[in-house]
Amino acid sequence: MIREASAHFYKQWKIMSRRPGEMAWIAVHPLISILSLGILAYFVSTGGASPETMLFVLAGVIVWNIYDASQRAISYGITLDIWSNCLKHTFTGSSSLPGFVLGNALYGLFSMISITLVTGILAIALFGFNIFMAGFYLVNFLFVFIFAAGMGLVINSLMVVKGEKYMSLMWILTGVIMIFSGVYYPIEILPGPVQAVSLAVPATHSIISLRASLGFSPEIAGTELLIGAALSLAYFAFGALLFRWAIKRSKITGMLTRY
Amino acid sequence: MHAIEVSGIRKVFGEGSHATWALSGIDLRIRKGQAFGLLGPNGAGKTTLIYILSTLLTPTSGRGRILGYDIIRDPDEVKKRTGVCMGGTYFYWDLRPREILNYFGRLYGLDSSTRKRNIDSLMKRLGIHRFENKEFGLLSTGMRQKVAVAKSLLNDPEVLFLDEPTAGLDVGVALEVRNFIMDLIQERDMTVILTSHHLGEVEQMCRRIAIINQGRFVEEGMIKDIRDSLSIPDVIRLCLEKYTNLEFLERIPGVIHYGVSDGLFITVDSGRDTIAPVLAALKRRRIAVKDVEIRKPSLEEVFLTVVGRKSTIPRKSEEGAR
Ligand SMILES: Nc1ncnc2c1ncn2[C@@H]1O[C@H](COP(=O)(O)OP(=O)(O)OP(=O)(O)O)[C@@H](O)[C@H]1O
Ligand SMILES: [Mg+2]
Repeated sequence: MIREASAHFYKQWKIMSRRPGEMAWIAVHPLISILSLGILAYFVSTGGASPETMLFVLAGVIVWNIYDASQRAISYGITLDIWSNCLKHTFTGSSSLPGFVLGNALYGLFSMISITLVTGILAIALFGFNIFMAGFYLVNFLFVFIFAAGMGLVINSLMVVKGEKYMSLMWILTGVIMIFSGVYYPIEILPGPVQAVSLAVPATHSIISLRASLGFSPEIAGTELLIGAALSLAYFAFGALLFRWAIKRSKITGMLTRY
Repeated sequence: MHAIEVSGIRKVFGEGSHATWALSGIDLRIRKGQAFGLLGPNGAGKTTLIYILSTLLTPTSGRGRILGYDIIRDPDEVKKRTGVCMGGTYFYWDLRPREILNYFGRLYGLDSSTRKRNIDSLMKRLGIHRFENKEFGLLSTGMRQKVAVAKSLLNDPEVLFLDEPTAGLDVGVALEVRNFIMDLIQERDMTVILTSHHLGEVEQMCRRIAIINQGRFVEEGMIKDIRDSLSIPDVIRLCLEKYTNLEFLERIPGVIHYGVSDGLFITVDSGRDTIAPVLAALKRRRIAVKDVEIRKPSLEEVFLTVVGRKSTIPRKSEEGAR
């Protein structure tokens, strides 16, 4: 399984390092979002909102960049094959699901760490906000990562069963989840039924826990961490089962051999 | 034990009125070390069968074993021991040949020294090292196909599936690829299934073939036996000093008809049985013979006879519709 995992990591690493546009996603994109949203938050706080607003938003920006990169890394495990029309060749090799997930997740972890460093350091330099103060509660990043990997597997399943037509969902889904998970605002300001959906999204809890640990309301940091962790693992398990089923299904319908 | 054993394989794509029966009941046994040719017109089901055997497609019904491993229950065991090469293969456009092979080598679970040894040797034998610094997207069709051949052999497979491996290659490169594969078959005692529209290639590489049409085998056996069983006439070609007063030929038993163009062409039931009486008759009339040649029907003629004769078998979906 380790060698198979290394295959998937190797593939993404090599391909991505030849594509400046893709590499920019883990360096330039976080920079853009930190700058634009950080400045917006700064502007709002100078206009009378509480000074914590800025910290609140910056924590959200960092988490969101991590989610985005992790989901992308898992989805690219399939997307790159569909783009290159060689999905079937990958499946002539071993198709062990743990190897696939681990290898692509490792690439995701690599992107996640780069992004944490890029955004974390920028936030300190530009706004004096130190996310690393969260200490132990930085482990929330890991659960955001696991949730993102689960969602990546859901998107992969769709692509493998329905074809490349569903590829743009990869980008849309991230946006939809962002709206619900209260990245830039407390979910309490959302209407009741929407809040209920928010609470079902693991990232909501991980973000609340992270913010709580940074001084917003430390007493709930632990509970929210646990809820976020449990939900993330559940979503991941669902994604993995769905993906396993999707591969089986695509061998029946012939979708796998089309690409 | 047979290296490949398949029975009752059927495959339908889609459902209801959109259903396509790609395969309707394939039985096949191939002994270890045998090269087996699969011929058939476009859309006959060749690629579908190869995909099923390489576990990329699940059959609608039927069973199959490769080297004793069930293609549905033990796909990973099957994949470890098989290689698949298809014509017109694409790999990752941004990667170089060695990187592509490295990726697949890792996927097959090869350790780094085996991987390096196999990749080096395949790249050298196929001449891939000559363009190893080019990214896949920049390679010509022939170069790409060489990478595809190398990929299919990375894991030292015992069974090799070749689906039109030389499609789109120039005569020289096709010959190079074909000879390389034939050498390997000899060296490693590999079992091979080859599909190709290049019938000369099939005849060169395989002694046993099946002709598949509309998802069924319409003929299967040794090429020689199929040729004999079809009783397609042979042609005797003679170069004579003069080509006049030849009507007597029609009275020789076994002669179907004759014609003169670039030589004398006599269509006969069996070249072997009729050549002696023909030569004797010419000698009696003092007609000097400069050259003789018996032409057995080509595989093309065999193929067209079989496919033409049996293409009226209704397809399953059509039967259902009626
Ligand atoms: N993935 C798929 N989804 C749906 N239908 C398919 C799929 N693959 C093949 N078919 C259908 O199955 C039938 C057999 O196709 P197949 O590719 O096996 O033919 P073939 O003998 O390889 O032909 P060719 O010589 O043109 O390569 C065709 O009618 C084809 O349209
Ligand atoms: Mg085909």
